[in-house]
Amino acid sequence: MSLLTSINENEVLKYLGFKGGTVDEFTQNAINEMTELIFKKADVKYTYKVFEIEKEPQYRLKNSVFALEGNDIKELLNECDVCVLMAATIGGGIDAEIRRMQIKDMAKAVVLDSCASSAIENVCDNVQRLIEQSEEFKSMYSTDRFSPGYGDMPLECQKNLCAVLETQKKAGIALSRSGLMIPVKSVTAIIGFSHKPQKKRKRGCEHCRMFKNCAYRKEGITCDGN
Amino acid sequence: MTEIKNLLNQKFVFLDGAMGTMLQAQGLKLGERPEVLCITNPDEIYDIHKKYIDAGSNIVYANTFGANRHKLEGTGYTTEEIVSAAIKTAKKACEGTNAFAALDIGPIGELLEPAGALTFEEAYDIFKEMVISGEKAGADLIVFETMTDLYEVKAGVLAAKENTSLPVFVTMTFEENGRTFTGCTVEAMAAVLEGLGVDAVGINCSMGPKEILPLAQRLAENTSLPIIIKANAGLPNPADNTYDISAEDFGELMKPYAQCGVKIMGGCCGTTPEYIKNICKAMAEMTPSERNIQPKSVLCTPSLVVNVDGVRVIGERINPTGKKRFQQALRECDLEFIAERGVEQADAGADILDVNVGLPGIDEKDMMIKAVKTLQSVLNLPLQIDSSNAEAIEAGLRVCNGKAIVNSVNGEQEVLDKILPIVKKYGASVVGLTLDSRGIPKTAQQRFEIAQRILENALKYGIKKEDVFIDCLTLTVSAQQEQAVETLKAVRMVKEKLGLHTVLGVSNISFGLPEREFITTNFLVQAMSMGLDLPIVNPNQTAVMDAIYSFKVLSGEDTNSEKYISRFSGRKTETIVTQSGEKPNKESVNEFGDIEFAVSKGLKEETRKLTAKLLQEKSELEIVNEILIPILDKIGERYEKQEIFLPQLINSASASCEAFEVIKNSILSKGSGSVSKGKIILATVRGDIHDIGKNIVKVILENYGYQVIDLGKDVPEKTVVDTAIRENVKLVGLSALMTTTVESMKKTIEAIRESGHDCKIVVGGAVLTPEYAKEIGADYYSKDAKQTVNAAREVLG
Repeated sequence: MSLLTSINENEVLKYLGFKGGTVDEFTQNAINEMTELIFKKADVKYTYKVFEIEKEPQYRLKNSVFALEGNDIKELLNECDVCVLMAATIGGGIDAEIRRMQIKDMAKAVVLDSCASSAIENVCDNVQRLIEQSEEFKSMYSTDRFSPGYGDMPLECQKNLCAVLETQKKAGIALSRSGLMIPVKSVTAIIGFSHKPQKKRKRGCEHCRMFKNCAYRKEGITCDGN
Repeated sequence: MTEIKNLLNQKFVFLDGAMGTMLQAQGLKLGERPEVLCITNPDEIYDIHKKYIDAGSNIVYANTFGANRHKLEGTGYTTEEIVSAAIKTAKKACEGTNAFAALDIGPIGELLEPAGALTFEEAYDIFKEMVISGEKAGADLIVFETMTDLYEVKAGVLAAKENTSLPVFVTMTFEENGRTFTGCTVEAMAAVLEGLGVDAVGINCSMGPKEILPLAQRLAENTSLPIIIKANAGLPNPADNTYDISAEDFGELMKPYAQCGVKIMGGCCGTTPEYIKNICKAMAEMTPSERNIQPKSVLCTPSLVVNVDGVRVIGERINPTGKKRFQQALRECDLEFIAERGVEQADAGADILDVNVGLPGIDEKDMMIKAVKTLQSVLNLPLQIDSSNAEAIEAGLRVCNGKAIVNSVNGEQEVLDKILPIVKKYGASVVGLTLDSRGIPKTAQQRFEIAQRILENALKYGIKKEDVFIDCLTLTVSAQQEQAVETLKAVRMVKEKLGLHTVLGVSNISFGLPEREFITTNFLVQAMSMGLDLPIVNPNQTAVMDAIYSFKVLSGEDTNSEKYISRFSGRKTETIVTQSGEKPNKESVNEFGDIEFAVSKGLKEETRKLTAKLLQEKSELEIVNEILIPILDKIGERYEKQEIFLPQLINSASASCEAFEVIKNSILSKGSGSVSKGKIILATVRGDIHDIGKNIVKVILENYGYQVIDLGKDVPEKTVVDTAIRENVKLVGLSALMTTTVESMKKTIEAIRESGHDCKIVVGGAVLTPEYAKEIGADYYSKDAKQTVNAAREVLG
């Protein structure tokens, strides 16, 4: 089964700055066309590894160099003994399509970029579900997905996370000097597993990977329109 | 060198198995750099090498896989220290045996341009440091392995060939779909690496012997080089990282490889000395089969192979000859203009793109590098490097990602001796023009003789016959009518008697005649029936492409006429209406005439036509100032009021760009005047590669009549400063998207201020706020493209 199952149109509109009202014909057609393009060109890759969590003297993944920095991740994994590191991408081909589309039709390129952002979120949801339903975890409770750059976990943690997961070898995801993931439409995340039910937080701003970069937050609103 | 060459004469050559697997079993933590162990615990590494040699390995890979300066960052060791310790350890293990020690080189760990920020030249330098250290430490050969990016491999192979005399082996890693992560195919790898002169090529890692076998079979048919296979011990279990094939089974599973002619074997992740022992045992009773390799003419990018086994179209439009707008673009270093010409031809059906950027007064070598890199960042077609300047040819071939054609050499010995070695070094194909110092011969026979001479010379320089294409030269029929027939005759002779593919620049035939298309297509069809397989044409001309599609049906290439049918089914006379058939509403939006409707709806073709019509009544400047800009202001206002949204705004701007193209062409044809309101630099700062926001701003600024000097993404501070001074630019726009790259923005601003150049700076990007913009010394903060226009108006008027 493909791990890219849908592109959420509302999410795409949100990224494009729509704040309600009717969608014009051009944008609607562009969303349809770009969604189709992504389904055709996406090359989904993912990888994950299971780790035991060492909590003393500091939170870290057993047998690895990856220390879990910040209070938010500690809080998230408080009741977990194991966690999964995952990475997923819709592939460098989509980056190339976005570059090409900027030459052909800038307006469609912007729509494509937004559709691709929505696509990778969908892939992550599906990978998470796959892990949750695996033999190893099906009787356990999962936490939310948490990524470097969320809350107080520094973006710099990305480097060790990628090294431990061998993302370049296993999923073709590398980091640039300034810590950007390439292909650009890629996500890394940590999911904790516990025998106790885990509180599902509303996916609020602080859990969003756009937290620090969000145009909505700058204007004092959220992407929910609140 | 000779020792390894002798080794390759053995029936089989056995490599080692995994290093990481062995180290992890002994306690190496995930994410730790294993290369450091050569210094901190060399005995552990020595033991592993020794075990592999005892198991039967003829070559062991030193523990240098990630010993490049990028990956070693933070370890406290240099590449030279690690490489020399690791090679020493491997050599020590080889002592007293017949085994050899390889300098092992894996991916740098950062992706190359255009996907990533690492340049080809930087990658070359990183590899250069490794290979020099390796040879100095006494490595017997260089192995590149687990590579996924053919461009990175090319940088590495060139570094190895140009800085050492060691043999070079390369293996790349493929996924289930038969491609590497970056999309590279087995066939493209074979074409490029055989061309670059590596000594053996193959596949390692990612999959087990069962999954790799079909890829190895494809590889065996596409290269004459010895083939290397290093498979994983089956497929991994993500939960516990174990592999599913035993050592005994592994040996058995390698037998089919011998049957497809593979002679160099080892193991990758999950394999141990036990696996190598079993491969040796299994091969004792085998002999590698003879391979049946059909010679083919192949051009490629990493992910697209073009076989010249029928008519393949070379697009001619990237060429400034006789095109004023193109010449202007070259002078202004407007790479987007070149990219647009490329994408347009690709969409129109070109298989290969000719790239000619020679123009008096510009640095052709530098422009060739920029043009090639730009084109391969936005499209996926093999290129034809078109120049008579040897330096520009070499520079273009060097940075070209794939196997290219060189256009051209001719029958002059001096030219052949200068260009052919470059063609050979970079593994390209070459076009030979049938002329020499005496000019273009009058008869087909004389042109044939020059073709023969070019072929002989190419073979002498080690270029394969399949890589030599002959251009029998099209002359203008209105000037030299009898020559058309001679050209056609020559094409047939070269094709039939020499068995070479032929190239022809077709369009030239009709120069000076009315309704040129009829002559051009008629000549094209005749030439194709004489054996022309690489016509150089303008693929945007529908009639030309129609003729080629038709020809392919008649020649039998287009099986069941499928492509012909799909091209022509549903073709009807084009009329311009909006997608819903909407018509301009005269009352509400007609203030500036129909063009307002066309721009606001993003109707590009309609906008072009209306602009051309307006030019009959108004001057260029009047159209810009009195019509286009007020229309854009109105649209901008609607955007600010949230009546329309970003895609619509950009769509209108793109339509308006079409109007500007018409206006620019009109100005150029008159040879004077300009509508430019001033120059603005735009750059996405160093370290940042998210440039879509900057590109939106560019489109909008251009629509307000500003000339944008787009420096692209990941732009060093110095480039911004130098350009601002050189071009005397009064407004610089900088963009950064990440918290991690805003620092570069700050440094860029500091560098501009320190230079003393008098200009204003406007900044934008997701992470910026007005306060922060002020703090880092910017003059303006722009939330969006519209605000940048406001800043531009203040500064430039």
